[in-house]
Amino acid sequence: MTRIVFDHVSKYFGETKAVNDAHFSIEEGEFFTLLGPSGCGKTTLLRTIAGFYRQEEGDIWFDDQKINQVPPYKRNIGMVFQNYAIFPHMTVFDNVAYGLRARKIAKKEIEKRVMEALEMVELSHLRDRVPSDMSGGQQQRIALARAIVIRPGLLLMDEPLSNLDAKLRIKMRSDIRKLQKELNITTIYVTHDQEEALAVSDRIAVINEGVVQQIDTPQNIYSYPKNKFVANFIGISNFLKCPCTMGDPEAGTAKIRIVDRELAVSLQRRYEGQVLVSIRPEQVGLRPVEEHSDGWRGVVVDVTYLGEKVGYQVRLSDGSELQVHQYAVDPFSLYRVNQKVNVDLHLEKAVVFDSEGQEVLYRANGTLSRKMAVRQA
Amino acid sequence: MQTAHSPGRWLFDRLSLRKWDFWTLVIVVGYAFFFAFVLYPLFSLFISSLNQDGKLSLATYADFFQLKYYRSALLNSFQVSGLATAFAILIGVPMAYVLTRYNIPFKGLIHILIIMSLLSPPFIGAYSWILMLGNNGFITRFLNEIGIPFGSIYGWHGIVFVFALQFYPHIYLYVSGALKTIDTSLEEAAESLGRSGFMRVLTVTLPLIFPTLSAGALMVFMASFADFGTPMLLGQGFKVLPILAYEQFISEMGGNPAMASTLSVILVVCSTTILFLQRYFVSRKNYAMSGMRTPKQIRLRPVPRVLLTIGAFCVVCVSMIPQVTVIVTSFIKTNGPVFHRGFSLDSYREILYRVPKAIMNTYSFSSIAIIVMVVFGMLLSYVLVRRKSKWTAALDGVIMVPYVMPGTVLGISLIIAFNKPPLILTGTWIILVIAYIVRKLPYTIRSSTAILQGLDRGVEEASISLGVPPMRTFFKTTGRLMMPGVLSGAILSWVTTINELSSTIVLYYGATATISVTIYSEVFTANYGTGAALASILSVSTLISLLIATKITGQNDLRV
Repeated sequence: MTRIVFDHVSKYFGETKAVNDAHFSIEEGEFFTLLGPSGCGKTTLLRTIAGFYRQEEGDIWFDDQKINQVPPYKRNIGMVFQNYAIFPHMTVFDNVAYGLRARKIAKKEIEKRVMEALEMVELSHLRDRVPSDMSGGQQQRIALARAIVIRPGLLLMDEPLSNLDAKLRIKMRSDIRKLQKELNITTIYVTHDQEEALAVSDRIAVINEGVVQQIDTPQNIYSYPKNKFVANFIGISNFLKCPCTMGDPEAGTAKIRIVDRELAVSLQRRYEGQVLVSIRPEQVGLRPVEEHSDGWRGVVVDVTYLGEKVGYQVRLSDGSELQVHQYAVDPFSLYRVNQKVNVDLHLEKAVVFDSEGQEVLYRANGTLSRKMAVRQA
Repeated sequence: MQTAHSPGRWLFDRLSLRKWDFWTLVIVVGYAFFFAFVLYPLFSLFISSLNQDGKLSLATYADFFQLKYYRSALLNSFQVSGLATAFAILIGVPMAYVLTRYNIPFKGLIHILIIMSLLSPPFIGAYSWILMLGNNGFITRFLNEIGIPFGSIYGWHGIVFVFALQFYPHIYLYVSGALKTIDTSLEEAAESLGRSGFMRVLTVTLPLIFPTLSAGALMVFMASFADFGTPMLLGQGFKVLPILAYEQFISEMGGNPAMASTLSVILVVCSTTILFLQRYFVSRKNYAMSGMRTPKQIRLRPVPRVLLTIGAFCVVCVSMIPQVTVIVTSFIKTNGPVFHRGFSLDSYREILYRVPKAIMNTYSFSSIAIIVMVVFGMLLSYVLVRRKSKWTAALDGVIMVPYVMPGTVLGISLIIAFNKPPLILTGTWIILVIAYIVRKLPYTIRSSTAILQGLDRGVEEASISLGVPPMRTFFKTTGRLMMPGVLSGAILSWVTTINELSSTIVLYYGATATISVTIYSEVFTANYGTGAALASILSVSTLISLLIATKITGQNDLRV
């Protein structure tokens, strides 16, 4: 059980900063995910922790030991690789026993611990098989058993599920999560799959271009993204470009005009100019058009039926388009293309960014939401 | 938690990051070896070519370009090598196409025989063609008896004939490799666009395999250009450059080392130019192919199937005839150049009595060379693939140098470099072993590199992360996994080493003679029987080694 601290860690490849000033800590027993698009530096950071790369700047601490100088084979880390990296010339048993033998553990003890580990991943019946003809899921389990059997202080997983098919991926990720909680090993998990990250993690670090964008729990990351990148990378967000003007100086509110309605909002700071109102597709409601309904008007542009839910593309009267997700309760009475609809924006779940999408100007929480009063312009 | 960012500590971190380990040592030893035994000899050779009686002079170069005797040897070299390459392509490409694309029976056998004919040394081929088609060859006599006028195989056309038959397997191996991995959807696209049959091959398939074909053609050209034994045996007045260099160097009437060096330098320059020309043309036509859909075999109707099989067997048989001839001849009663009726083991008795040392030498020298090569080749290839830096990139370039050094040139350069202090090696067996290592190490490294690139790097990291230090990790994982490929490559290198003639003939003296130079001198003194017996020993060794290598790889894709 190790606590890891990154103290202003940077890693360069030539001129480019693959990891840019990582400065955070991972708690004991935490399931921590590094999430970002490919090439964002998440794997680089993981390999720096493992010791396969050396950071140019900053220190990494395992508990109260600075491990900058510690070679990878002395870091007591269990690592699961994207392509499993199973030793093809050894049996399943020998693969799992490899790290224990390197630690000169007694033969009886090795036998016992390997079988325990294999039972945990439900592979004890295959102990004498050669892994080369085994399925991806089974190889993944061997890799997992091999990593945990040495009782590492830290478990690193580099996109461990990306080579598996969708169904197996979902089963494996819940297995991994269960095992991690059972063994209470501090785990760092790298993935580019945001759904996977939300499903398994205690906390997520979203990384883009080497820079940590936000570190938070899955719920907070999804509900309160810190910038446009996070809002867009985790799930889908609609961004509405809206003008923002000074409102009531005494109340400290600003006026944001969304299409043809103006809202009074109390922003974090004084701001004038354009803002981005970010709203999730499931926070937009559609209703059939009624005579005296409030809300916005729109036209359905596209319908995508996805089984349990249905995705609509809706054009508002100013031409901007919104993605809308609804449960397909009755798949035979969906809105049709070109049908006019009433659009409800659940603004109490929206986030307002500055025009660059870098700063949160307003986000709803229990108290703020009441202050966002909608008025007819 | 505290941070201390002082420049001094930063520097310390950087230096300790680059701290010397085992692999640094490998790089240093690699450089030392290639500097001592490749670059230094080449440099000595160059200096020697400018050394006219102790003075710096370009006289030998001037002679070379002014005297027709030398110039025509250069032209002769280009002529036979060029023609041999052309014929090798004409034989090799159809063979490769037929054997990869059609359901020809006995493919494995044909494949092994083709490799076999490549691995047996060309001078044995030349020698047995003399037995058949020489002035007194049995086929020559037969043809003359039934009234067909036939001179003999001597002369440039004979050399081209032997080279083409000997070296077409290079083309075959390269092209069939390419044909197996080509993306068929490209061919299917051509067909769907209305090109089919021969035109499709011409417009799509051949252009796609051009880079590979040209690499094979380069091998044929270089091998023909560098070969010493065949033109020596078959030339009879028709001189090519390696022979001239050898004669100038070893001449009984006081050799001319400056001229020999000049000729060697010109040989190296020519080979290098050809190599770079090939690289240049290929670099502009490099097609990365994913090869997602590899070609299926076409099932032929019975008649074409039989015809193509017969055709393929004809080619293989003609190229195998020398081996058979040599083995049969070795059992015939002989008295010097005269063959008698009846079979006997006299030739074998005689070689065991007269030249047991040569047989011993051959096997011990090449075994030592191979052991060094395997260990050194594995370690160096590891450094080249997994420890990429500007140092290893430069080393990669240096390793290529022996490719362009014909055996004769290598021999001459080693003598010039090591017949004087600080290090005198001439007349020892060590210089032969060094020559073998220098000649074959690049091939060992190339094949190990290819194997290594196919291995997952993660396996090693997994081992390290499980607590095994890098050095032990290498021997427990990557080293182990490389072994079969490296071993089968090493066996093939061993085969070409026991058959090596062109540098041995320059470097040996009485006590370090090998089988190949003994065959050569036996043939020159017209002891055909003993020559054949020795050649049979080499042939059988080659065959056995080849079978072992195939067994180790477990399939038919040997890297030659």
